[in-house]
Amino acid sequence: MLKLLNKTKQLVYPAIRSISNNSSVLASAQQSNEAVESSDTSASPEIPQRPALILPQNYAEYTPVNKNSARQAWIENTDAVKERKVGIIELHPDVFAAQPRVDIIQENIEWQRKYRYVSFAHTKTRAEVRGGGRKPWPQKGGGRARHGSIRSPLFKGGGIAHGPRSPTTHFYMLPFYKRVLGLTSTLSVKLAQDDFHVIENVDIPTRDEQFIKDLIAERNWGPSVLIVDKNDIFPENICYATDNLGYVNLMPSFSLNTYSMLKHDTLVLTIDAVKHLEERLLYQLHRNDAAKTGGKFKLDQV
Amino acid sequence: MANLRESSDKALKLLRTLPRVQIGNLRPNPNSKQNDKRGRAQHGGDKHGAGNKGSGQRQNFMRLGYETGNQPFYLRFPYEPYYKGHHLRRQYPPLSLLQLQVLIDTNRIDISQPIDIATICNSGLLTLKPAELEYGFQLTDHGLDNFKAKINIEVQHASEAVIAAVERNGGVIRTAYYDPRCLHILANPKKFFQKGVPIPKRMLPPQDAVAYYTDAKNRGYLANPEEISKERLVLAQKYGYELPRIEEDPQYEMLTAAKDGRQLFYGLEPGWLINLVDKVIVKPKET
Amino acid sequence: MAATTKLTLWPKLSQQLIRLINTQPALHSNFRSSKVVEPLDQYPEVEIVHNAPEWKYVERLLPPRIVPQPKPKESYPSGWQPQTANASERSYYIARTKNHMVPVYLHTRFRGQRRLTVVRRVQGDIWALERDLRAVVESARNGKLCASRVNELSGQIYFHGDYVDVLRDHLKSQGF
Repeated sequence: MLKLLNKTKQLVYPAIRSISNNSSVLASAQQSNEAVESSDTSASPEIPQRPALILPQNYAEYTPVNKNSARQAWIENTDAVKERKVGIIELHPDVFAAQPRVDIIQENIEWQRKYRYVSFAHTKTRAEVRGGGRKPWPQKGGGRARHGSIRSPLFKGGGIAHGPRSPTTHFYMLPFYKRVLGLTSTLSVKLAQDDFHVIENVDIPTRDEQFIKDLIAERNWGPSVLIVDKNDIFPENICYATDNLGYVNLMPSFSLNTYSMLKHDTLVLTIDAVKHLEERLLYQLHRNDAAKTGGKFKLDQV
Repeated sequence: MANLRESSDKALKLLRTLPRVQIGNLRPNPNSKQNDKRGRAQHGGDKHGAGNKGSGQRQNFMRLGYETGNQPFYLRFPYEPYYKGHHLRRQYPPLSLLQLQVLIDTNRIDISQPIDIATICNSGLLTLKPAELEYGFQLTDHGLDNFKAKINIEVQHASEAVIAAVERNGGVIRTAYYDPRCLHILANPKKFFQKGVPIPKRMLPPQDAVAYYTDAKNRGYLANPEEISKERLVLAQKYGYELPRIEEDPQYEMLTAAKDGRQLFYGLEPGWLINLVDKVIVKPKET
Repeated sequence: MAATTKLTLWPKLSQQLIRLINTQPALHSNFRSSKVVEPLDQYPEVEIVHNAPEWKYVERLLPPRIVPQPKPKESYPSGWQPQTANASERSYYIARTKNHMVPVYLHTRFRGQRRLTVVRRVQGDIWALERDLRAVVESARNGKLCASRVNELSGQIYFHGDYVDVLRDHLKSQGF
């Protein structure tokens, strides 16, 4: 069963829909686990066999609102180019099966692009343009239009009336819960469109970047890959391997954002990153002092 | 369960057939963007809504309130008696008995402990703004008929009917005064503990509030406890209910827990310093 | 550092300045308004109590991190009811808010002249729900028709008029 699933790229939506007290889910997973062990021992003798990593999650604190959608993802290996399923992890529907609000994703992308942008375009006004202090010709008698200065906006070479004035900031804050919803929507979109993978950890066997290239080609991951771990310090091998590849990027989970997730075709999270993200996002969705997140944004706020 | 296709499930299933969501694929909601460019030619352009000649087109408007020369309305009256002393008037934002009952039903407030400003603000649903002269909460009578909870509550103002409603259910109500500094502390105790400042002493009420807080009818915290018991009996007779005996209640200790007139928090004395990180209390030595 | 050199050049003036700064702490800076550390014997004697019996009072004052789950009770005098509907019974489902409340709201526009009743967090067949809710609202209006608007992407239904109590009670009776 697992060999067939290894070949296809589809995610499995289980028939069992409930998540809490997931003994039934585990039981079925463990039965498949035993089948895996017996079938895989003949396949690849050089890779050490370990029991499958079945990772249910305890959602007692944050019981899902969508009671019907349970989500699970395969945990894949990083020790070889060929894909091998190492286990299965449970995903909370409020984070990974939320309504895919593409309009809010668009607002997040726009905000990320604009809030840091400072426009340095600058034009001179009629007061700043050199010259133009004297009345060019008398008020009356010339047959020409009346003017007070040769640098008024009407003149060629004159100042600009309502032009850009540098520096102009375009800072604004998107409402807090729109940003949270942007993250949950993007994660759900990635999972739904098969661009989401979970790996056990970021340890790879060599420093060779060819390994990463072969891995991406073998598993049909998109040209660009975003690898997210919990900590900002990654192991040596993956750092050397991805250093010269501009399209494979490493990121800690605290800096996950919608722009990076959509910029890279494939999103790869480690188990620690999945747990960290779920814990943070679910906390924001259920926090007691949510009213504090509204109100004016202060630059020194926590 | 199988026949319920949630909108999110439906949308996510639909997305599997659509192209990958990318930055170049997204567009804003229809009609959410306004064109910032100025109009040109016939529609939106030409005179740009400014009309012909006059101060309007010449963008030389009269200031707001100007009445073309006569004394304007906003300058006719040098003072208005209605706002005299407004900066000294204390405000008590209302907390209705219905709201309180909902908070209790949804487990946002724990009634096994005494309730004061800190408890109400910690629920996250009500805030106190002492900077805007809000001196605490007043308990109002909306939802009085359906109030059925035995609580030990301390507010800053309560009417007779409200006091009767609380005492009828076997609870205890008290009105107490907090000075502005203490109000800021109570509105956010965690923020205060993080400052590393010792707990201050509560100040006594100002002169115009002393009469209210020393009156047993208002269950004032400075009133004589014997008079308070007498008034409890009086109210029971007036409103026609059997006064529950608190002494026989298993929660007697909780219901009779009261703060001293100079105490800010239950159980913690002024002068103590709370260290949340090391979970330690620094107490001044008795000299 | 230019400020300090200036102060030492005129000692009398600098003393006066320092006295001024010390007597009037700055209002907007935590650094400048906190007192300078004095020799330890100037401070009162303290004892540091670990595992104090009064620590439970401190924990009582700290707010909960996430919204608490409501406890099941026999009756709720305020009229609030926990959600009992299972998603399987009907073709639609209305999720409760984070604070366990029914998501029916009143929006007012045009200076209070237009009142709209909004039902949010709708999942499933929103069109069927709209039909059912419109029937309820129209019966409350004694048969007069009621205008409504459905936004399927965001799961919201808008009704003209103020029927918040009517719809909230109806949804509670259905178990949502």
